[in-house]
Amino acid sequence: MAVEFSRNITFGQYLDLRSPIHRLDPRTKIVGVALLMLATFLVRTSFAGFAVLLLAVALIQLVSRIPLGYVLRGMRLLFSTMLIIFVFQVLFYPNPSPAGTFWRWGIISISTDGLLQGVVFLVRVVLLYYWTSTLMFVTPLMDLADGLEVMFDPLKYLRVPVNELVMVAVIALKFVPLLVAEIERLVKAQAARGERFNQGGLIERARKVGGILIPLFVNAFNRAEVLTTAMNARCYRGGRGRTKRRLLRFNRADALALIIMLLLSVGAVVLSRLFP
Amino acid sequence: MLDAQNLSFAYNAGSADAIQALHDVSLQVAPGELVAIIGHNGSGKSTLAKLLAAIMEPTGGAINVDGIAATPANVWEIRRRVGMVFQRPDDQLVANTVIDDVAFGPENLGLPRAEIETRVLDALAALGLGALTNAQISELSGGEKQRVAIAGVLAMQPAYLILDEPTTMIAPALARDLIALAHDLRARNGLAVLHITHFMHEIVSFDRVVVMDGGRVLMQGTPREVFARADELRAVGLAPPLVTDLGHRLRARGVALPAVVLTSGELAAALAARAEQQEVGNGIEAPEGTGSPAIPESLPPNSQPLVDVRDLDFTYMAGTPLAQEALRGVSCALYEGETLAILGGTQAGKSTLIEFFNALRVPPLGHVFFDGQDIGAPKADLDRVRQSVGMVFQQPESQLLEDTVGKDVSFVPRRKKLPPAESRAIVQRVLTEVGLDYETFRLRYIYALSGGQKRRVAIAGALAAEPRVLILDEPVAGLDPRGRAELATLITNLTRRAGLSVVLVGNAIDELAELADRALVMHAGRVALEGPLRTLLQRADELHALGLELSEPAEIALALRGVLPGLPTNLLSLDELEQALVTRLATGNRQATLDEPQRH
Repeated sequence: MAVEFSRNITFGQYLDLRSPIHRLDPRTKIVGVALLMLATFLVRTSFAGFAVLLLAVALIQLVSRIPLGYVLRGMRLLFSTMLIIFVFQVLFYPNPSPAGTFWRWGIISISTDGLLQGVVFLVRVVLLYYWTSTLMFVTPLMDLADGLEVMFDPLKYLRVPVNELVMVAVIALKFVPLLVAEIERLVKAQAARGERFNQGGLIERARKVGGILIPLFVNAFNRAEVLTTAMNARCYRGGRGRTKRRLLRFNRADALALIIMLLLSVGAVVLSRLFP
Repeated sequence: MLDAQNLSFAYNAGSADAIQALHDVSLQVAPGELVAIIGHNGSGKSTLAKLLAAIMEPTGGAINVDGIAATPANVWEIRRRVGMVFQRPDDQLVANTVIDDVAFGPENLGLPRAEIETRVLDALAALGLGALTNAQISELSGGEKQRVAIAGVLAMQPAYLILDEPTTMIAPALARDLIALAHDLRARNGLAVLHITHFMHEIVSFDRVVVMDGGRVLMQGTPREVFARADELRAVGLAPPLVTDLGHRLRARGVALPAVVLTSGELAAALAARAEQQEVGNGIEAPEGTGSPAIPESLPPNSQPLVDVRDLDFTYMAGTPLAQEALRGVSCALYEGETLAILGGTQAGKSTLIEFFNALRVPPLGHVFFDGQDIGAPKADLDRVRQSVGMVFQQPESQLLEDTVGKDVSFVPRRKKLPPAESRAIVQRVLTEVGLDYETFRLRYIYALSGGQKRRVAIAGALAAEPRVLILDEPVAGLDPRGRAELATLITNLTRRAGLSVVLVGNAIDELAELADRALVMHAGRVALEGPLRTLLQRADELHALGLELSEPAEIALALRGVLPGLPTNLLSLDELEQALVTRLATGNRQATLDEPQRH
């Protein structure tokens, strides 16, 4: 029961693996992931549709060189929460067809429809998590920020503070690993004083989590204050008058990647409607 | 010229709970000048720095930078000209790669792309970060991160650079590099550097020293002038460097020395000149240290060790692309009642090792034993181990779990469900032991305590579990000299307590390591050397090579060996150093007199 959360919390981590996907323009990656997310929402309950999306997963895994074990490790936490939701979804599935119902007690039932819907929901959530976490595995934070800022630039005319919003998102993500390290330190401090954090009932566990929340927030606020001061000292005043060092370039590889992503996502949606 | 006239500042100005942090401070810094600002926590030095960098506005007085008045309209120009680097690099780096972070400032200035590129590359080159240009910041060491932070400010081409206590949290070797860097930046970029610190020995090479106390400038002058006023410095809890003290003592014994000795180099030169005059120290072949290659194993008490680590390996993030080896075949033991120092530079594996001592990390079977019991065994009683081994982590003040002192210290007794009276007695006893009065501090809010007091509470919390082993991980790091001294006294008393084993983890042979009966020196995940500290100190060069600082007296002795060959380096205090020097000088004289007849 080693205290090493950073090993299991992979969300927001960038993996410097220098694959062809890593080298793509961030805008390509953002648009590609947006397409796949859209397809994940729109795809109907159909084996063919999800098969195409899984093909996309396989392709990304192959080209990006991200170890599968690392991806799965990051999903452990998600899985355990999702399983609870899955159980509820199945049990409370409304009006299942009586033919496919195995067991029934009041409003609770287990049915083929319920199981199917539960599984589809689970797969959708896992896919959505996979797209977003993979985007961060393969894109440095600043690239992501630049890409988002350029893409949402037109919104400036509607007085949306694009640069500021992107900066907030970037800093929030940058602090995820630091926050995880902080939680690790606090849980260790608790454990060193005899607290077993992976034992006890739900209330007992909630109490233990509560125990670290106050120091966690106090430390996070202190950090945020120093960061604000440091950014101020480096003349950050929002997007006003700010220029960029990096130039985003759209290459042939980007076009290729976009076409593949577009084909896969459109293919998934269309196939799911053709072969339900 | 950075010119501050009659600055004053109050936090919460205008309200009833206003705290006056600065009173009427005037300070001028010329372009290219190296100025050190020293003083205790709460002396106002960080407040002054923030005012000079236009991060806060003074409530009284005026600041003028190279002819530009610090008015709200000019605030950005002042901030560009006066750059500031903060204590912890993790809190001030914005981007996640080196090059992006360094570009952040120039981007904010709205410079053209080509100009940003040149400035960023120049700044990286100036700090020797060229090879790390595209590196991930999360993969850098603390010292590298600090350099990135400085490069980020340098890329804005400031005329003045303020370093706000950058050396408080880093190893002494890194601190020395940083001071060298300040000189370098002045020489190459014409930069003026204002270095804020607690540590006197860092600033002997500076042009000027400003001593602050209670929000006022107590004195300023060259280091020589300031350190000559040793008594005034001591009165505000500061002390001149050890070598200056030594010079003083030797002068009092009649050794001809300048009034203020600033470095061991100066002392060596003065002693060499003296030797030449008296024809002492020339041609005398004194035995070179002891020079024995093997360190005798310190004899462990004839008993079973309390903690026994055998051939332990450990890797962080095992099975991920970020895997990092931390321990390689470590074996060591801790005996009942002894004090053990675990020393080593960064990444040596010290902090990882001690987490195995109290079962925070559970090893595979057969590698770590507590009181004869295998911690890796499936049915091991880990609760008993954790209760028997108290642990105070680095910067424990950020890990206190409750809101009041009494509640935090009674955490373990309450968990054990002891009767209230018994729990209360324990809290009372341990608070007294760490020097905090029970009645006064029981209901105090932790956030309102000083840094040193918070550490005491953390130690009291560990003691309240009535442990057999107490582990302290760099317990005095980041405190000012007064806080360090107070905590060192407390720890000294703990090491004397019968039946309590104390483990002190550190990166230098300092006043704490000296309390240890035995020391382990770790390097790159292995135990490199082991033995009593005094024996280890004879191998000064090896310790240096392992990234470890010697005790200050030993460092001075090592530096004096050039003129006084054979001066021992296994010295732990100023008294011992003084004694060794006096003996050595006296034998030198006698030797010279004995030599005389043979010469003529």
